[in-house]
Amino acid sequence: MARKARLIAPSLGLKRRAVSVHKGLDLSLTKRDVRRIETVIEKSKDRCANEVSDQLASMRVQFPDAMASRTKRPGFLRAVRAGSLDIKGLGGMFGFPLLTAFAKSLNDYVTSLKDAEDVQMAVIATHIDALYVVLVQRIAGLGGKVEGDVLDAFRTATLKFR
Amino acid sequence: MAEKIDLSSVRFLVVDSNRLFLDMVRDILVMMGATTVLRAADVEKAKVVLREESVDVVITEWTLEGQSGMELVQYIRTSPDSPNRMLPVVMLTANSEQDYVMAARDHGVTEFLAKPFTVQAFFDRLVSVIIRPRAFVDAESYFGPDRRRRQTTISGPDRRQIAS
Repeated sequence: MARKARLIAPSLGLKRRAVSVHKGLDLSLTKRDVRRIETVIEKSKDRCANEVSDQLASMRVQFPDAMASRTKRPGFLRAVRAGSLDIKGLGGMFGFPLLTAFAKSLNDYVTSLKDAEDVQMAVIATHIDALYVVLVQRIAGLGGKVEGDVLDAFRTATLKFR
Repeated sequence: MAEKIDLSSVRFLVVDSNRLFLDMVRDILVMMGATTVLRAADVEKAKVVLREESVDVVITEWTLEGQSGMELVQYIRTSPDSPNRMLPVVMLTANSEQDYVMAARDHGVTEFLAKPFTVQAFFDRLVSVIIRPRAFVDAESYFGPDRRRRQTTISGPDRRQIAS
């Protein structure tokens, strides 16, 4: 017989310590506060670009060996899964939501794969190349028609070659 | 006078294997007024911090090197060694799909925020866990914040029963 569930009242100690009428931030951040705090993110923009560049370089270095040897593909997929997840989280933070969109497409795709056929490796390579272009050309926002068409093409390819 | 939130009295633990995010979340918290932001790159180091330091809020990524952030949440919520089973946990993760959100909720995460995130959204989650703490449910198959987020009125008799 399952034991009865019980409801435990919340502890209010933290709230008592953290709420003040004299000191701290308004519960609704002012636009000025948001801009001030966002300078932290702005200052890390170059570091983010370096991080994304390093992740993509690592994928590119591993790709030829994984293409040549089937035994290396599961390890390559794991590396791409991890790298694309990081890029997905970073891109939109620094004004590059297209990086997030392409990285999400790549991450969703490789997460669905335990191994990769040659055509699937080609789909992965195309994603990596597209991410490079966004980074090198510093394509801010979601780009234009071309970028939208690329994203649509990725949707089609990842469905077709799953 | 309007209430303010003073993060200088709140002790944070940030857990992320990505050094850039670890630094950035720390820097954002400091800009928001926090003075104590502990950091750990993986679950084992996070457990050491939890055992040795007093922590008020945990902010963790799901995907970590070694054990996952969800295993950390499970440790906090269910382990006899947990320093505080009701510790507020914010899951801050690039794993943002619906099934991750549901799984996080069902493992006892207090708030969930997808990366990439905005400063406003991050602040709102902190305000939620600090200013609006939720009651906890202690049931056979779940220990964690009450997952009912809305209060709605119902018409008709209340036929809910607590499991016997």
